[in-house]
Amino acid sequence: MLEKIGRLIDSDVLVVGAGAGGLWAALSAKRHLPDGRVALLDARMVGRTGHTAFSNAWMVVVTPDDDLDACVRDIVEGNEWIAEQELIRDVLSVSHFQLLELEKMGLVFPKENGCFIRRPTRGLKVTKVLKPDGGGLEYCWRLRKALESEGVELVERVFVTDLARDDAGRVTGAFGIDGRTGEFTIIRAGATVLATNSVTFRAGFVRDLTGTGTQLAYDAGAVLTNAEFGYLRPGTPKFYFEGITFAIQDGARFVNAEGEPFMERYEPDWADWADVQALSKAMVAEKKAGRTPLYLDMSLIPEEERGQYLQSSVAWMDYFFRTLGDRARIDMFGKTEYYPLFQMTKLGVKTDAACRSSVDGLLAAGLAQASCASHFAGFHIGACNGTGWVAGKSAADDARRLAPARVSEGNARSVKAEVSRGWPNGDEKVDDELLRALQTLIFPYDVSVLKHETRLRQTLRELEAIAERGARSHAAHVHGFVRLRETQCMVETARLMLEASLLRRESRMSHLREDYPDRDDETWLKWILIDKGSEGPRLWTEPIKTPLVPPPAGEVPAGR
Amino acid sequence: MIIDIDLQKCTSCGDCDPVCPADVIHMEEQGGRQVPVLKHIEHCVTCFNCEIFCPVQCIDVHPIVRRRPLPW
Repeated sequence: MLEKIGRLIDSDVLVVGAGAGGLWAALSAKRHLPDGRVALLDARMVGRTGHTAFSNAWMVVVTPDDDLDACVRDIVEGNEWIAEQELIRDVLSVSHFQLLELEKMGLVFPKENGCFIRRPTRGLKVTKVLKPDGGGLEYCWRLRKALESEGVELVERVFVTDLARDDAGRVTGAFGIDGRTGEFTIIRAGATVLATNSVTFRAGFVRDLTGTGTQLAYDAGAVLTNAEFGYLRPGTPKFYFEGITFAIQDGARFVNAEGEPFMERYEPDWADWADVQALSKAMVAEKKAGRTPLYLDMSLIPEEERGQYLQSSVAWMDYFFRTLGDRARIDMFGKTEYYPLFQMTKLGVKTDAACRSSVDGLLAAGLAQASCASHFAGFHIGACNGTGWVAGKSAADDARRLAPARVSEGNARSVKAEVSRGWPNGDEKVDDELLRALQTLIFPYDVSVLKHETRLRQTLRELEAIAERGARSHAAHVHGFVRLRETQCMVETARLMLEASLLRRESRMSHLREDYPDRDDETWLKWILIDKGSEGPRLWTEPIKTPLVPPPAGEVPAGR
Repeated sequence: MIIDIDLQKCTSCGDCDPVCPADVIHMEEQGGRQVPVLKHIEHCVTCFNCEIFCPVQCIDVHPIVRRRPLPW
């Protein structure tokens, strides 16, 4: 009796993670399986927490008046062909429908003369973005209310520790614990969609949220990809500012220690308007040339444009900017120091165009799904929306097609025993020393931004010691247990990142090899795939399919 | 980081607890009523959610994030 082992929830489709990808996956699953039971699980509160909730919710939308093929080309070229082309087409195709659905939920997207107000976004030529009033918090809350009204079960404050698998290897749900009480929870599911965040190293986004879903998939035997790519962007040492893209549209410029706007040297066509990873690369070059510190000069933004930054319709930004001057004595319209920041990995589950992983019963959406190696401002959430919809539909189909899910009592008992050993009843301060050691190892710019074989190998050797410490570590309480699991996930992710970075002997987008500085389409239009081998990670390559946008012939175009 | 919770103003509604993404605020019994207690404050991510959703504005968050790892 599973009920005697823990709290049991039965579902046809389980979605893990309530960001944009998970919210849409749950809605899509319910719409495609109206009589089915759909559960959306999150480690915190659905609609109020998570990466999407704290964003502006800028999103790519392709309207019927847009040229879909041109937008697909735009995204594929922007990803320098590291892209699942058919999935990108499907994501963009559904984006207008999703926009109208969001309007029906009461979300307001500003219009002018009856048309949505859309803006261009950095790194893309034709694809446009828009955002709702209230940003990510309002966006997530409206979706939550829609899910409640359509009968999706919300399971909150549950941290998933393991995926359940039957004897044939199919994923049949998940095991988790209440993040406060430690209560053991079993969720049995016909199909499971992982829609957790990318793995971060708790440094970039002020929210510091980290995704562990990719690790769950890896442990369950799924194939991963894009470990060598990351989301590089300019960051500040002291606070977070989400709005660089639009600050630059309004006149802000990056300058070096000599006051020179340096981006034109590296990106003559795009200058400060280049993609964030190109900005990060240029910052590293400035560092090597001895021209740091680097600044974002916001004083160039005209007075009449500043109100939108000070009175944001996004609640947390509004609070943040109002307190920045008073409490921290920082003038956001002055010169603020910036540096290149490795915000998150692009590691995710490799899926087909229907978001199915290599493991039966397991799908992926959002940033846990690796359709692209770069997402641009607006395509992060655009891609999450679309992959959520696609994954939810596929999961509904799978739940209908596959035999009833089975979770064995033996499996449940062994997982419960394992996690129950994770913490005694204590109230000690959480030991984050392991996390600090990992950050110290990974964040130097000549490891995570500018890579070289010698340094990558050295970092891998040093990572082993951290991994061993992590394996020996214990937590003092449930909160610490969750933190420790997240840190262990980061350590494993760091290993995959370093291994894949060694294998890709070229430079492309965020993957910048000092010893292989050129892009090599002839050899490297390939995915680097990873699975959990019996003796450690197993890496291999597979050609990238290009059914819609053929790779460039002849000279490689300049990066963004 | 959260720097102050004014318990005199707090109405014990508990809205601040579930909206904390870092599990820093726990509603606990104190002096015969439920009040927000800061646990693991070092993990506060400065998201302002507690301040935003507090109906009586009794929570203060400071905007500076500390202990960020730097690339150089």
